[in-house]
Amino acid sequence: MMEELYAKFLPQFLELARDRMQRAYATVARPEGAALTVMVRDLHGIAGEAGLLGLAKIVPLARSAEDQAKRLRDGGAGEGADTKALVSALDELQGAIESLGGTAKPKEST
Amino acid sequence: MGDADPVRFMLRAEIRCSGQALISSGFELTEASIFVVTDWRPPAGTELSVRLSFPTLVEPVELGGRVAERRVAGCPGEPGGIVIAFNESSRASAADLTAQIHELCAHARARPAEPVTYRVLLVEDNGLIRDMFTFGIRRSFQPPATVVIDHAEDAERAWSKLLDSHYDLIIVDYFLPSEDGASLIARLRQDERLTHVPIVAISVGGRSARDATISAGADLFLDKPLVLTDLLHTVQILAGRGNTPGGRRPTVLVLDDSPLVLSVTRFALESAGLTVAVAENLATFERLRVTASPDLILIDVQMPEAFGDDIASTLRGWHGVHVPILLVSSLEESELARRARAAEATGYVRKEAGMSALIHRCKELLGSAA
Repeated sequence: MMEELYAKFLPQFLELARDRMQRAYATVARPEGAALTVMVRDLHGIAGEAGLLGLAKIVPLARSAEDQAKRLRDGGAGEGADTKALVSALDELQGAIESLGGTAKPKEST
Repeated sequence: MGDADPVRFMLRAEIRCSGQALISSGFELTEASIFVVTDWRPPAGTELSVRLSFPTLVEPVELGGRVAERRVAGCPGEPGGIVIAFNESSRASAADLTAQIHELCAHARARPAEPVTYRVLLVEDNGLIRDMFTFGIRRSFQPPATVVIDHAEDAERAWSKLLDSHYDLIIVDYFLPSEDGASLIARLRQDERLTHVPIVAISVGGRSARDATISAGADLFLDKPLVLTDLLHTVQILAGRGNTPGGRRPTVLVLDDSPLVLSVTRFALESAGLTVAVAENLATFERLRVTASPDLILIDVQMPEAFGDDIASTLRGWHGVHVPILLVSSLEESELARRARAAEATGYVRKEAGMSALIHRCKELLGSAA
């Protein structure tokens, strides 16, 4: 069943995730309150959707990026170290999303 | 039961004969024959195969046979068509199918132990037809079983009702103002939320209306004038599924702000044999909570309008909702468990645990009904 889910919904997941990542990178370039909140929600959304689709590699990376985004949001813009850590987390997540490429198989975590 | 005891139940009949195919409605099923409404007039003895089914009730059964009789349309309510006599090799399957439908009929006649509500959307611009149908339904159903008929006069109104509410059956007239019934049916079938809802198309339009609506995705087509008793009887059987243990599929209502999560969850839970209603916002959720009578409610926690644990808490404390409620989230486990306890939710499932874990938990809570 997971393979069927994966085949049916992966394209939609990828499309949404790419939009969210694009928005996240734009926010990191110009961090401000409302956009940071949207970024946190976007990354949280990626983690949840990936979890239900059994994309086990994506989930911890999305959660890590979400945590970094929360730190930046709660610490305020202009925190250089936080931004750097967030960009690094986003890069890792972006790489994992792109590596899905329609060939990786889902792995259900238990 | 024998030939003298035909089943008053409409079936979808797909006939194949020498490379030709037609889809129509079958009535008067016995273990030996069935009558199929059609204006096709093959010679008696013509060999063919017929596939009989009804969405959500009867899995397709393929039967071989030959044309035993041709009937010319008589007075209104007596449609023309052919009687197909089944081959010896198909008799056993026909007998099984007949027995299955008789059993469904018996359950439909039984007085339900608990209130059962069955919702029908009738898309029909003719007020008198709507009144006839509503009157017939009211006469046919005795409390605690109820059928709620909702009306829409055109495709747009129907579409808006379908997005807001859950229906167990949709009946669509072909000739509607501005957008015809076939176009509406095609739209319905493209929407994942409505793929599994049975659709009956009705019209005076004859073959062209039948071909258009069946091609668009209608399960059955009925010529007007309608044999209202047959349609009502079929609705009764559909509704009567609620009388049997395991007959009515339990309904799960899912609230999540992610359309993808809703699509994935719906697909997986429906594949697991459950009926699913989904809501992307609180207004839709509240309407569905009342109209779909869910047996289980799944609520995401972090949503733009409200936190899921606050919603669960309000359902329990204010609305007195007793059905199981699960929080479904990608929050940390300890945080999710704490919120579930505080909200008096039945439990929680982490999204990271995957869909199999969610299905397992749903089935566990729904018990034998699932």
